[in-house]
Amino acid sequence: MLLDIENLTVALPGAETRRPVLDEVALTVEPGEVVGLVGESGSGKSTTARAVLRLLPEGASVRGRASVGGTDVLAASPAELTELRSRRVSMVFQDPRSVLNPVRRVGDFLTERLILALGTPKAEARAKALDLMTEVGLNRPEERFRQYPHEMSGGMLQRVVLAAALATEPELLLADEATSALDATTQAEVLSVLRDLRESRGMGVLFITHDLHLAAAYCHRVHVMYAGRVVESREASALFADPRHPYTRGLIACNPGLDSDLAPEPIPGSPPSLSTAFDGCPFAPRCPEAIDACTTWRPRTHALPDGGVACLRAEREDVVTEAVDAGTEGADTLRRDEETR
Amino acid sequence: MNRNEAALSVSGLRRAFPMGRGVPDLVAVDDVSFELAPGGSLGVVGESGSGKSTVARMLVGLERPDSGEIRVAGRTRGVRERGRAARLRRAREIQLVFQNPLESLDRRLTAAQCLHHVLRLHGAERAEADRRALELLEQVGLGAREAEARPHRLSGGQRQRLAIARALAAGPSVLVLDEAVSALDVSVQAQILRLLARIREESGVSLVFVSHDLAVVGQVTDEVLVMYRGRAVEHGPTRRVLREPEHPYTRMLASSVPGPGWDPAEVVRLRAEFAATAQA
Repeated sequence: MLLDIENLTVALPGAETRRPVLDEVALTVEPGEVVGLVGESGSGKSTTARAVLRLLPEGASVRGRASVGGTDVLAASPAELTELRSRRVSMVFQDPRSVLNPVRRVGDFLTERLILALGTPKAEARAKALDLMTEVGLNRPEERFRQYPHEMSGGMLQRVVLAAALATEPELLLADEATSALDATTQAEVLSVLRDLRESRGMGVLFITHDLHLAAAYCHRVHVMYAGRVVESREASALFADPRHPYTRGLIACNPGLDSDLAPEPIPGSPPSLSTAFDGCPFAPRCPEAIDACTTWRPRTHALPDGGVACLRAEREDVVTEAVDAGTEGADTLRRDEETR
Repeated sequence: MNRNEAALSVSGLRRAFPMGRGVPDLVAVDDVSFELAPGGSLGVVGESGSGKSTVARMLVGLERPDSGEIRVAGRTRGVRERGRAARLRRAREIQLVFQNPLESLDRRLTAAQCLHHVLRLHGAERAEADRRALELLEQVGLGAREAEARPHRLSGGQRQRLAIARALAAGPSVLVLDEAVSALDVSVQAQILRLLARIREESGVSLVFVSHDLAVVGQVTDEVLVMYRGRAVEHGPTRRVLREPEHPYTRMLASSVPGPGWDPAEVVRLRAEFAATAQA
């Protein structure tokens, strides 16, 4: 297991905060695997990625476990943490211009980490940076090495950032909306490059995006987050074929896709802020399928053959199906019970 | 207005930007023409630098075309209008909604004041403006609490609703939306798209929907214009253009929209193919 997050709960300080920003989050990434993390703004997906590097706000209280390649991140010593942040895990954000120094050459940015973190000799670092630039699909690397960020397009800059992220040969890449600001065709090009690099290096990727269609098309497995919780974890192909959580279905209905004749169907209401606490399922107030019991049901993950779902009704449906399959007495009662709700 | 007359008719629109001495002008928009029926909805799609936003800016008058003509309900839009009445009439023809409402809304005005202001400007009496402002807020789904809130107290979706209400307050015959839902979460995006469809149905306003997002354009427009380097490379019914694209550039754009079975390498292949035909 490369990345293993278990029951991670993070609460932020503040008088108005009434629920944890992450609530019992569990997810894993194997070496060479791309795992999607999908949700709307405020669902906790970026906080999850930051927790992997222990980049949490001051005063945050943390419970649970997060480990990268066997290193317990939350208990790591300062030296281990530096090693983790500078070499073993890389992170790429949405806006390359917020990462690059506008008055430094692109080449400096690419070699900086190699020279400072790994102690690579300067000439060697330069040669390595040029190789990386070619690998991420930047042509004329010698020329671009001397350019400033303002001389390049957003797509080019994001490739530079990706090259820098790969320079230390990390085990894990945290991509936080890394291609969201790019044109769709440029996004596809960058993702195509990233897929090849990941395969050849056996690197694991946690791919954070608000775009469920993209996650399902690009990742091996996808976790859907809502209000700080993972509500559904599935093999990517199963997400469209058979989404089990009403929130996942809602997200799909919001954007039915190019080939569909359906009009976009919004999810009513809006995601809850941190000042809203829940006695039951946090999605219940917006859920078209909620029953009374949902408002008091403390969410727990119900196992599925390819993952899990945290929904009372999905859990009950499966109990009924199993009972019917096993020919259990009382299955009819159970089914009637479910149907009348 | 003549029944058969287009709400908006654009012909031979061109705009070039000087790039400095010795460098050829950048032709941002080159010979773009289209018509939009009353109550119709047209999508303008393309990548960054395709010229789609320059088209939007010329429609509302933020950018002056080098040549070509823009007609609203048969009347040519002047380059520069003289006098208050002419300028107000011009504003009533076409209104624009931007991507980021926080930058285009006055942060000192509450939602109700913001609308009141526009309504008064267009000649409504005080009481009439108050009544109409409430109507508009209700039309875009904002309640009494939001009416008294300033922009920074509203959510992204609520701000965009307010920006749409403000555009409608002028009573335009054409509404231009430049990436108006691109910064919103999908569920809010779907709410705004549904709102726009309803407004179009109720008020008969025509929509020009400028966006890089093909899936969104597919959901709200009847016709689509695909732009590449300033030129319209394909134009037709949205469903046909997006599902059976004829131009290699449109094919590449459509292939870049993720869905079941999507392969980013296919997009890379189509781009190479398109680059080859573009050079030939």
